[in-house]
Amino acid sequence: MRIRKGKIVLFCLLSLCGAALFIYGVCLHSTNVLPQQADDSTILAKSEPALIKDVTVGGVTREQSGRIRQTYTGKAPEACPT
Amino acid sequence: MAKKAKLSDFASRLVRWRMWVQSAFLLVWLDPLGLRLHGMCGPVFHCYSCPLATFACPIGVLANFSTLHVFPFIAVGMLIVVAAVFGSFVCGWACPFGFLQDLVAKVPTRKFSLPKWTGNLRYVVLVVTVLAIPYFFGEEHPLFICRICPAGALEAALPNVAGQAIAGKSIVWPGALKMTILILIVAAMFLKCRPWCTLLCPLGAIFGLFNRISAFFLRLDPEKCTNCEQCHQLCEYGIEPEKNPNDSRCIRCLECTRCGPEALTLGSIFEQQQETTDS
Repeated sequence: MRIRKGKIVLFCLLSLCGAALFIYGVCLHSTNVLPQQADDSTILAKSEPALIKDVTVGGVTREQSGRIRQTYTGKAPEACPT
Repeated sequence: MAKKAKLSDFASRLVRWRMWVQSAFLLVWLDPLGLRLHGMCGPVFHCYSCPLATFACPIGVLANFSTLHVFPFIAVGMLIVVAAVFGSFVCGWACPFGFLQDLVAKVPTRKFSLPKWTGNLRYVVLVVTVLAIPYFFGEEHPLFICRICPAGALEAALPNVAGQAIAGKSIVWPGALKMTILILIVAAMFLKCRPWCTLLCPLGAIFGLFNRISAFFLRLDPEKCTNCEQCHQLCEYGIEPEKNPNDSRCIRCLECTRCGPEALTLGSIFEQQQETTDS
């Protein structure tokens, strides 16, 4: 009985933690991305779903300086780079 | 006569329909409605570069975010929730790449078993090719997971090559390493049940970690177990279910629940203590 209660508590904690991360990612988290051909003062704040969509087609890359830059202007690439 | 718990009764009836359940899930992942929800992760190993993919692949997202040095909140959150509820049920019942391996395993060839420790290779793949290599070397490294992924080669690269050929465009061939791995994995499917899942799958490694603590799990009734080892023969993955019913390598196909003494059943943390009533 004690083990079962412990499992329920652990399950609830994990579910809450996972749901919190998921909701934060969907609703609040964004990443600063530099456009392909623009000076470094222009920064786009990309939401996480938009960033996921972009990485699927190699639409963003990380520069040596640590900044993330978009690899296209206008229409996103159609195919994955790998 | 002992009255079986509702959940295990339902599970024992569902086992024979597993292929149909997998087919139904396949329809979900193949995006028949053309939704292309690539901003969200699905819980299965299905390449999002596939012309028919509803969701993004969680492993692809983990690896690509690792190259960007950005924490993937959506992918990690989704994986924790799904794993906490189902553990590796996803592998056995919903994964399209697992389904393909199950179909190939129907070909009557001699199947080999491998030592237990080989199941740990999945964690090496997860840590090295999904997290470490992308983080330290970026996506250009030849061992970046998407560059060697057989699901990506089969579901995305080959259909894209066919699409380019049909459209009369110049063909961009996938990498030689990727195609070699695909050929090796497909060949291995004839010699071992689910070689990718049991040896190398990084997503299976994540779900397997949750098998012991997930809301749904396999339960052994030691009073019913007669040590007949029938479950060893029913399990195609070399697991000894009566010793460790929630082994991290288990894909929860529930075949072992068909053993004669019915000692292995599907359980849930929300179920009350199993009641036995005499009628």
